[in-house]
Amino acid sequence: MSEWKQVGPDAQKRYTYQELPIGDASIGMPSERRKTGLWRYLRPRFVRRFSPCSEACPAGNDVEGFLAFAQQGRYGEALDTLLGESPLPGVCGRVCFHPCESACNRGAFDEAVSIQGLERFVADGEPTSLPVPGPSRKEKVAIIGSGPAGLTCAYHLRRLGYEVTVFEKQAVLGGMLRLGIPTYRLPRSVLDREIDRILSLGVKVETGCRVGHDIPWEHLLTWDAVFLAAGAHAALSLGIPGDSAQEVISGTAWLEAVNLGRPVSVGSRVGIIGGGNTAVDCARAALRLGSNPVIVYRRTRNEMPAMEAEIEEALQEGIEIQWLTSPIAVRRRNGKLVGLECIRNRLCKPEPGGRARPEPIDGTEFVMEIDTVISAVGETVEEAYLPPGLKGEQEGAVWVDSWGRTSLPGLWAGGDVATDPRMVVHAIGAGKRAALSIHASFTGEDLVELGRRLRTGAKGAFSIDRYLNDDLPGVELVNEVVGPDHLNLHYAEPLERAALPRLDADQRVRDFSEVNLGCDEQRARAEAQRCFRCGECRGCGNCYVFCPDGSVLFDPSAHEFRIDYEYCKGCGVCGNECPTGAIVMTAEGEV
Amino acid sequence: MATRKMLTGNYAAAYGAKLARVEVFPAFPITPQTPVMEKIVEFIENGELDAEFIPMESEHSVMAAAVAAEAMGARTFTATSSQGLLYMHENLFVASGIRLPVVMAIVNRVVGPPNTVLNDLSDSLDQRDTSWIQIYVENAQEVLDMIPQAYRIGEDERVLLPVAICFEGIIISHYMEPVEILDQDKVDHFLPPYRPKQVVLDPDRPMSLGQIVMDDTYITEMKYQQQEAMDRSKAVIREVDEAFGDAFGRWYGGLFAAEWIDGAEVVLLTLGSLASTVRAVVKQLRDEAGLPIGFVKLRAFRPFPAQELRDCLSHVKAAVVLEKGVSIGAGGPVFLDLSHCLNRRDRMPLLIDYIVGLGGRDVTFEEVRNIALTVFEERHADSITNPVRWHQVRGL
Amino acid sequence: MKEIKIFGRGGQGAVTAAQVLAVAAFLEGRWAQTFPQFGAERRGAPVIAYVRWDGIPIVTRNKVYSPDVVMVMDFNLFRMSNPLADIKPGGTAIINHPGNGSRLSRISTAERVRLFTIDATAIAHELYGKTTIPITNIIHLGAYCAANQDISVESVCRALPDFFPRNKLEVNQKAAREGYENLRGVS
Repeated sequence: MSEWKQVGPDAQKRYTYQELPIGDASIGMPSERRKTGLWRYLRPRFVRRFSPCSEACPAGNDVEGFLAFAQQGRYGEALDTLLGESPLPGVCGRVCFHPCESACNRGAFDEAVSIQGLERFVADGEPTSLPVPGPSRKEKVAIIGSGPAGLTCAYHLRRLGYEVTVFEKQAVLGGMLRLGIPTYRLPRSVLDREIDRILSLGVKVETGCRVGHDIPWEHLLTWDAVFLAAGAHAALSLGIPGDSAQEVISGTAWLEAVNLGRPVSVGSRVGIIGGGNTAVDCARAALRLGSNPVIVYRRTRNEMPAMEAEIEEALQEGIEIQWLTSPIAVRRRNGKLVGLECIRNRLCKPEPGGRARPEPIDGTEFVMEIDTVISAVGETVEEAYLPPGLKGEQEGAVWVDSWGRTSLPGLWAGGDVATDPRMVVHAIGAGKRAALSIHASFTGEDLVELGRRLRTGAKGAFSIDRYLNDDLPGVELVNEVVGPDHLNLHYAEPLERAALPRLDADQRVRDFSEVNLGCDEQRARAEAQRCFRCGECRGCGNCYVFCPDGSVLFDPSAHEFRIDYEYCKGCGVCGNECPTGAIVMTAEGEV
Repeated sequence: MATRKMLTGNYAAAYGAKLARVEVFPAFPITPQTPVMEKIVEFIENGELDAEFIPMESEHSVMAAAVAAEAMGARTFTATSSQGLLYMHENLFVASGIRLPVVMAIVNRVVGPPNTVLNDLSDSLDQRDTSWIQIYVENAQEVLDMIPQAYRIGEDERVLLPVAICFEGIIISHYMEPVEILDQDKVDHFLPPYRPKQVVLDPDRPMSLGQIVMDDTYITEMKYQQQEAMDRSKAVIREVDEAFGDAFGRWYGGLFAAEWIDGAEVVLLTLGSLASTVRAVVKQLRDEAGLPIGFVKLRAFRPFPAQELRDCLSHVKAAVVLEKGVSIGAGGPVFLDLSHCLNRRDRMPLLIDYIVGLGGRDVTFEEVRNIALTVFEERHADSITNPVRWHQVRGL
Repeated sequence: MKEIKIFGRGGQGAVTAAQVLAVAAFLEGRWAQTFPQFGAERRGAPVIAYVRWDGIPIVTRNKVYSPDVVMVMDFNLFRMSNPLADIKPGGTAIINHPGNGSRLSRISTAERVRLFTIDATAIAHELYGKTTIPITNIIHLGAYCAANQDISVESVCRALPDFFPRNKLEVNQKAAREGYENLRGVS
């Protein structure tokens, strides 16, 4: 601000006419004495801010980054971008609950971008380059469980250069991705392709190996680090009379059998208790096996934890759902299950911070005629095999801190076994988190500092690719998420969201072929154009066009805009006209 | 019902145009005129004014569009400032040459360099030879009142000339003050719809306007007609002022307003917003010191009221012009015009010119008072060696 | 005649504040005039706006040379020049400042000037959210009403609809009242 006085002594001085140098005020003033940048109080800066989609992704995917490539039809590089953060884009492109789309700024304008559909399209193509193992490090890491958390951790640790061994109880890899998710949602070819890509980095695998049984904890804990990602497989019981009957089966166990191709029996009328994805998966699988399923859920459709699209598809397929209904007893006759006694509920007002509690209505008891019950009311961690001394378990899960560390030194945990939300994408995020955390424990890097440097928003996710490649964007990264108010939506036109085709309901119930068909290139490209590219310069040139002083310069070789601070006087027009919120104004001296 | 509202001079111009029910509004933005354009566009957008806004790519095109629209018989309005006005210069002749009563608000601003958004009258005084009627006003109320009047003057069949209403940028255009917004019904009565009887472009009767002629045809005659129209406009300006006063209760004096002239030995003459300050100084010197000083607020610069001012000033000993403009190499434009009309063998008053307020420099009450007292001392001198005085030059 | 000088920064709303205050005076039956001091327009740059009001029509269009009231919407402006340098002896100064004004004792100004502070930045952040340049203009008008008691805060609120869309009225009325209630005298 003190520079104001230097705006040519001429501009401020009250000359007499004899003192005024002849012509000085109008001609012959060297232009460096007229640098209007000295007038500036606010400085516009090209920055990169976080897009809300990327922030919302628990796996820390660079959503905006991959969409930027997809907009240009550069699908290989789009996949490279996705693989930089997660080895399972084909999986997430199919089964994720896509919090990115809920956060999408486009949702406030017309409809959110179909990010999941685009992720799937991109992931089904080929990357331009495969991830490579990092320079070898001497430390060895054991990973228990080959689900999304374990696989992701193995993938990133190999990229960081560690020797990694995955111990898997089953004979096959994939954990719940393979055991829990039916193939009509996630074809095994997709899963196998992505697991192969992980293994190709040189991950060692020990299948059929139960920790605490085939390999003792004492042995494992001598490794340099252990990541526990064994999932939660102990089914919670229904807690009603008769629930121990042979015809009352665990939903996860039943799905596991179906998914592994073991022979399963399911009656002609099966009642499935629960409202989560497991319940819906069981129902739809049972339907495909020729049964007539009915889902029994104690609250309403709005409270069902299953993904909305899953519920909708189930209903399309003709599956009956009894809402506001709780089982109260299993009815048996002549040693056979003959029915499920239920009662209707009403919802009480939700308590602050909680969900609406169902309350049984007296006198509404009724019997549902069924011959099999599948219980899908949740799973917990089998505590029996956990190492002694691991403390802080809560609600049947291993306590971890914000960097995946357990109470035992050298032991990390993540995914369903730990206190993480039980979603695939959270497990992927937990695997990545453990990888970086384990790495930092060896390098001595400060996790707080790393977290600040690598964060993708305020929700805890981070970018490991930025760490691995020291890949900071060419512009300053500002710790701020772009909201609708940061965008100039005058430049946006409403565009219809691409509808993603599905098999017809009557066709898809015949077998386990994939329900969602994905989109073609034309549709993908059109959908990618709908992305606002929040928080990143998309090169539209508005700043260049609107700058009243010609102080926004364009470098054609780098295809980049720059601000000429010698002449920019800080009017802020560039920032107002920037459609993506990639220009911020900060007070001079506060930068 | 007339209402009073806090308005800037620019908004007063926009309200004036709305009350005059202008039909076409071509414009290009320039500080300090821009809010006139913004407000009129707002009126059009929200349906308060049924008019066509034509956003042009330059002022030159603005006047071309205004000429075309007016030639179609549409009541046309525009506004500009400074370099924008100078850029129109060529087409100003077209409007007056085809005798089209376009009305324009000129929001006065310095013509650079050096550049500033502040005002003097150098932009509009410079347009004196374009055969436009030019009326200078004192405050936002007069801006609003003069726009319907301008149409009534220009569209009068005795006149048929374009009219510019000139008001100073910033100190009128951006000062907000109470303004009475005229009653629309009364304005409609005062200013009937435009029904031109002269040449009107009509697609069914194609014709060309303003084409080439030779020396022995009629250019001289046409120009003389313009001169006559300009002469006749003096009476029309006075009549319209009377009619306006009868309808709305405010009279501005027509070509100029003279106060305390009887028995005055010195008269201070000025134009634009400076009139407020000069009037207050004259009043104070009369009331407190009993000095025989009079005051003239010049309103019409074109037509220049030569004969009328000669009659008015014939008895005074000295007349002083205070003006915010200068023709470098000669003197202030008003002073120069006044000089030629006082060319009598007998009893010619001393004529002194004060160039003040250039580039928006404040002209204070005290400065004007000093000027008045200085000239009052000189009033009996036989001759003046320095009639053109650059009053505010530091170090002079 | 009362002359008021408002110091702010581009984007802070000093010109709007002056206009609202002039309209408020006008709505109370007075003659009023308001105008900005012009410079190159850019965000963050110092802006000065003026208000004059009187019981009789205002003739002058001169600059304000000796204001009765000075309002400083951003304390940083003191780093460039002293906004209180030309205040009238016995005048009133209202400064956006979070403290109790102890730092203000060093400001050189005319005699018998009544100094007031208002933590307008904090109130602005609360009411309008955090912005690069805090929007303190209407808060200052409330403070004006409290310090001078010659224009009522109700008149300020009545003037607001000329300047703000309907959905911004309530927050600005609140701003005026908060400004009125949070004025602090500096002893």
